[in-house]
Amino acid sequence: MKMDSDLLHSPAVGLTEEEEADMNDWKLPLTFMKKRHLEKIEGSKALAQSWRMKDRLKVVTNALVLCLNVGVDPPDVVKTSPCARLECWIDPLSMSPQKALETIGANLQKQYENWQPRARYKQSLDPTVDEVKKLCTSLRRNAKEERVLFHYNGHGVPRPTVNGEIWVFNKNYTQYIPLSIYDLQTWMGSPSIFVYDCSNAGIIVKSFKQFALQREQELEVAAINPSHPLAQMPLPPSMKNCIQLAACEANELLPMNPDLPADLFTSCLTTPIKIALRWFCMQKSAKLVPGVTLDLIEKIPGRLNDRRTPLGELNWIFTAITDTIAWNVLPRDLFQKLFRQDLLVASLFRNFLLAERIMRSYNCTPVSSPRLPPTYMHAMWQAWDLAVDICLSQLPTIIEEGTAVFEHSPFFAEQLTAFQVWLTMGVENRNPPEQLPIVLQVLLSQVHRLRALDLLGRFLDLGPWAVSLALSVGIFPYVLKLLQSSARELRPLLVFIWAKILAVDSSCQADLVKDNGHKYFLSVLADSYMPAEHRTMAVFILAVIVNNYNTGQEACLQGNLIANCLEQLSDPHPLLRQWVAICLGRIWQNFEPARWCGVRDSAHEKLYTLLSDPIPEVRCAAVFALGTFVGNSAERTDHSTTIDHNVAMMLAQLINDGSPVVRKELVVALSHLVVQYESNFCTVALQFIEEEKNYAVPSPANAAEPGNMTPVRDSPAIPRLRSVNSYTNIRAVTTARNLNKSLQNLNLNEEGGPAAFSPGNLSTSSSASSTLGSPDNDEYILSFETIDKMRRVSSYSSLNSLIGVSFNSVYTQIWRVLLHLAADPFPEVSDLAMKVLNSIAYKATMNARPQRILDSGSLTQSAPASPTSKGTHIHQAGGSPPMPSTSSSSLTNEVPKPPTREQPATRPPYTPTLGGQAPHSHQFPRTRKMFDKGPEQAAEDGEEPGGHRNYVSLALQTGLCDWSAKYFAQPVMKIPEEHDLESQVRMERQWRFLRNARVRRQSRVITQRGISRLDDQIFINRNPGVPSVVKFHPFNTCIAVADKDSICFWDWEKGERLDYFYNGNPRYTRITAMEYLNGHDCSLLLTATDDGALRVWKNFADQKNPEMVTAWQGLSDMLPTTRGLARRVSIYLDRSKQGGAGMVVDWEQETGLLMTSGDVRVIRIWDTDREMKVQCIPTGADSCVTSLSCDSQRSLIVAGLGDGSVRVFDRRMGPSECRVMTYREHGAWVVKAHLQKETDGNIISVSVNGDVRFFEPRTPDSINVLQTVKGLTALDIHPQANLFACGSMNQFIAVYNTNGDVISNIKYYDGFMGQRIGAISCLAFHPYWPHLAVGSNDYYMSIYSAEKRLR
Amino acid sequence: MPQPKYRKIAVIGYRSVGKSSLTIQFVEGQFVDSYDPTIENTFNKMVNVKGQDFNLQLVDTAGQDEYSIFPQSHSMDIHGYVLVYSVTSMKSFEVVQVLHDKLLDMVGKIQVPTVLVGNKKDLHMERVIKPEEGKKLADSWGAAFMESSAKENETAVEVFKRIILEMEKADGNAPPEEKKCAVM
Repeated sequence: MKMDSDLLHSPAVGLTEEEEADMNDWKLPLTFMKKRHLEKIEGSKALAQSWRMKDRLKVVTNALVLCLNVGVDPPDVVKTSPCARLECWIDPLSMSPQKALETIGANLQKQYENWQPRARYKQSLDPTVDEVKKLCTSLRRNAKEERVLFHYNGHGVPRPTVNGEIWVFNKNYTQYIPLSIYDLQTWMGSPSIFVYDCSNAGIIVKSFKQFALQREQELEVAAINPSHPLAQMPLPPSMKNCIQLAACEANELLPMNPDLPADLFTSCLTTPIKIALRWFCMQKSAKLVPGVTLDLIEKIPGRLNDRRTPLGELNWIFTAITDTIAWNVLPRDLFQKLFRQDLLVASLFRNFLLAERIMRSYNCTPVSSPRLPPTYMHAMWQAWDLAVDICLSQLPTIIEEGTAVFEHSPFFAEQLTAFQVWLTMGVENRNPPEQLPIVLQVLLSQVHRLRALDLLGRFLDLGPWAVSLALSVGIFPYVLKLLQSSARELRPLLVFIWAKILAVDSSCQADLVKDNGHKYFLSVLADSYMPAEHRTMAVFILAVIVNNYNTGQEACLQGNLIANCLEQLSDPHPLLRQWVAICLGRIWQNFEPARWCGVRDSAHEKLYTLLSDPIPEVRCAAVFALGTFVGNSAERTDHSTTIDHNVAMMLAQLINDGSPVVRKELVVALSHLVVQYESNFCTVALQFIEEEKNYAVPSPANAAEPGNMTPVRDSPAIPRLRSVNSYTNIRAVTTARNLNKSLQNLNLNEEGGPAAFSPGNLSTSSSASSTLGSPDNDEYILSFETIDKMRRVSSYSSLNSLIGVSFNSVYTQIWRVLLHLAADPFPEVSDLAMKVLNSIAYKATMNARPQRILDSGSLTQSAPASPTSKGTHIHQAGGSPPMPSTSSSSLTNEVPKPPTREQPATRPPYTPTLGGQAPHSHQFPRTRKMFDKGPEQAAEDGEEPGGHRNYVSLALQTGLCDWSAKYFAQPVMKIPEEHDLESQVRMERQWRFLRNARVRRQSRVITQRGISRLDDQIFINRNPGVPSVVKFHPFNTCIAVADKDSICFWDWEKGERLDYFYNGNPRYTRITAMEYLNGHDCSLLLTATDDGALRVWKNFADQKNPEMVTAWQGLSDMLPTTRGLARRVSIYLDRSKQGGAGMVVDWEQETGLLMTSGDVRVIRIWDTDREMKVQCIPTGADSCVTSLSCDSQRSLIVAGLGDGSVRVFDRRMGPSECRVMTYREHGAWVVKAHLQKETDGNIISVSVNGDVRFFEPRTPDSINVLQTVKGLTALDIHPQANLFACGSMNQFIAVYNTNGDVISNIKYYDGFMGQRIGAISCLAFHPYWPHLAVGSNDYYMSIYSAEKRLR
Repeated sequence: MPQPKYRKIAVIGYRSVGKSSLTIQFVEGQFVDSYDPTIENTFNKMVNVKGQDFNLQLVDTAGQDEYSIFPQSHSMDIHGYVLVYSVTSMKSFEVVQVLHDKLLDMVGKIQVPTVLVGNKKDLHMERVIKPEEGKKLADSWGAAFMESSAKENETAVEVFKRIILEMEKADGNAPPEEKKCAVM
């Protein structure tokens, strides 16, 4: 007996080993935790394009009005002596008055021309009212809708009046003549910009606004009352778009300091550097730099517009600083309007900031409308002072000695460093980096460009908010321009930046194509020296360019995009493969030339290889590309039809792909084909419908109403027929919750009631759940039941021999694929497929029905085309009349058309007499109505007559491409949160792993002491359904109990129910296996049902809504005979008599492999990482597999079979020789076959007869046999303690140790006055604790444990 | 017929007291009721006073206030001054005193031929300066005093005739009646 204890031994105990196990938690891979499982597959919301100026303006004409009257001071100004004299840097008294005036005018024009060289300038020197009027009106006429500037210098006239007048002269210059601002507004019109350089200028701004308001009111009056006299006059223009800059407030005089120019404001606006330097010298701080005089300032070498010279550099810095201040201080929209809309306005406003700073130091406050927040104290000005200081301090040596070399300002480098510092800490909720506009300026400089681009890229990487911020600063034209650069070192940076931009705002595609930007990215894509990441981004950019944009498609086609992409299809970088495929799919989407180019390059054949790519997203992208390849609405030739068929059959192979994302894409791709060959599919659909009708089925619905395709609503069998649509609704998050809640309520009521245990409870609860799930919106012609039937009836199993079918039956095969997909376990897939099927079924029946009417002879072809009164009630009932497709009939078909569709084009699109036909007339409006209300079919609601194509076409798409694009919108450089030791995610994980370690340690202590009894009932509760599978969570106190189609979660420590939800499997199927995935971390629950479907759930048992992570058809070809039996009876005690094992699974967390088998002749191995079938091992037996066990380290799989054999497979070997051992010692159905996980672990198997056998995998015979009770229904082996438990149909549980000694015999419930336990339906040990969960067919679920003192 | 005498007269005073109106009433015989501030305007007119023709050149100046810098041009080549205030404005009355002081400073004499005119005497309701106050001020200067209204041609003409007389007096051509009065 010593040997036995060795056989079932618990591993040698040692702390090191324990620690090793704890470390292993960190190493264990997680499954189904990728983005595609966690996120909804959809694109991010489009960015509102606030950065793009809709109305770019230009100042085209400028009126320069000078009222100086040199030599005569206006009467209301008391001047100091000496007083500020310079006007436009000219002393008017240094020459004759007339000459002075002309020189000043010319100078002012020059000063403006520095900012806007190409505009027209008109001077008006000491004008009269008439001259001003003529000037303004003519400028407005010429400027049309563009902006006009009005500059007014009022230094020689009285101050503006409170009545809103400024002053000009009479002809003889004997008098000052007032000029009303109202008149000026009228002449200038809008949009305009006004500059007032005179004392009390603020008054003008005020009166301007008053008059503008008055105008608005007049406009309103005129609009309301056309006979009003105001309405007769030409309407005054609105003044909303006018900008004003005034030198000072309403109560302020201009500074008269003789060191300053008289027109200080104008100087600031037009010669900012000059005045700024002078002002700097006048400040006390300038004394710190010895030797700098005003004269020296005049001699700063260089030109303003040459950034390499000292003067140019200062100017550049000044621009950067003022721009930065404005961007940081102004509201975004105001910034856009004033600083990005119009070059001259932007310059004036930048310089206005300087004016504010300088003039405020003389107690003068420049005013603007729109008003700006104060900027004069901004910290950036100190950077400016420093830059000036550094520049000026070099002057004495440079100019006087002429030897020193000018050192460039460190300003930009320092600002970049500041930006870099921000980046290391920057997050969205912090203030944006104030240096962003400077980074933009730096892009202009070759010296700093590389660094600036790098930093910019890192900034954009922070997320969409950063991209919109950068766009709003005005990054766009700069980076567009840089695409013309040929510098190779910029390529990766530019590609990165552009990928970021396009991921956020795809509308830039047009700008790129216009500027030939796509060529840049084409060459990057073709550059094999470029890292794959950057080629990926390049191809992403190209994919955006060609997305729904014909010009882009053409441009890229000419740039050889297709050949270029095809070369990269086999790149080892998965993201590149994915985007290459998406890009291909997009370039030939509705673009025939590209498709043909693809055909010539046999692009479709090259894409086939990607259909078996290990990465699901890549497979998706390939399906997408092939889908748009066939979904091209152009005319078809024989050749192209053949290609389409080929592609369709290749696509059909993905029918059982493990990833729902791929299958969704598959449905969409096939829907393109369906639309393309609509009439052929209509024919197929009709055949199927007929066939299904003829087939005698036990469904009462169709028998009652022959010929009715939509029996669901009227038929008495409503509760039984649960359409896929409604079944999805149940699962929709909210309703799922409701359902669970109501089920819980139901259950509470039952428990509270006296008849709590009456057998009727099962029926009440189940009927309740089905009514809850019963359709409110049974809107499909084909219900789920019919579809399910269809696919069975039409020899569904032939699906597996899809390849190589004859040409003609392609449509039939694709129809079958769609039928199959309509029954997909993943609701989104089945919904999509239902949509496709129903649209065709609808059309098929639509086209078929009039034929019947014709047959009945009550209608002739001459029926009036317009709806008569007979038809009107249909309109009322059904909304718009349905439009049978007329264009679809024009498609060329090889397949003979159905006879009913001979003349559909000539038939009136809507036959009004239909309404009179008794049997079908009612269905007509109803079906239409159903379609109207159908979810997500808004696109099909095209009501316009002739929009039939629209109505017919399924504008189906998955959000795959947009979702994939999100990758580029989100940070790619950031380290994932879970790598951050301080992050919440990491902390939670750490906590879980500590918990795991504690469970392992404590349970080991108990099991080591040896367990002598196991009959202490620690938990008992009534499950909502008969427990069919129980599964302990390995580490927390949760246990999952499945009944036929729902799963209940209990907390066995607290004794409370945590959750109960519907698994979503169709009727007649039941859950036969469950596994916890990622049990050590974020647990998922996998359920397997006997139709071969696998579903994975998350968010259960923790007060959240259970969500389906994924679902797929693990086994697609369950043997029909056994399955039929299994369907008939839901839960029966003896599974061997039941005929089916259902589906059995075993899960290997270490490798992410899932072994599946059951009522099939194979063991199928799924790789959950790739979501693909990786291996298919034939069992070589005629019987079903009842139990699976595997060991990752030895690559062994042990299967127990229904015929009593136990087979061992080595999965490293080929399918024909991988069965390495077969034991035929059991005479009957194997209940459990278990492979111990240790390196030399043995096989333990038990049959229904109760004989427990131990095998050594290398020896052909059993090494030990124990006999337990007969009539076993369930057995589990504790992996740690030396225990196994047998459940029997004879209502008792026996727990044995490995010596074969009975430890405990459980026959009675503890708390129920000795009530006998029910027949055991399932039992399971906790993987660590000595707990045994038992479910019995009297609904009770109980857990037994070792004696209390041990625990 | 003796040669007409050339005389240049400056009209000085605070803003909008009616300098231009008075001048234009005298020269053109019409009243201007709008107010467009004057920069500087010069008019010519022939008048006959006591059988002697005078070629008058009238300089209508821009209004001034107490802080204005007195233009030098107003101190040279001017034979007589008409200092105008408005009987409705105390400010203008104050300013006219300052202007007189500045004038004397600029000219460098203790007395120049001057007529002090209280204009706008038709605005009875708004009057704030009594004729006596004006008279008192004029006496302190040794100048003539009149009240006038630019709306009435007569008083305007009277103002300018009076300044001619004052100038003549300064030239030593005092009319005999006045001598009589002086005896009294």
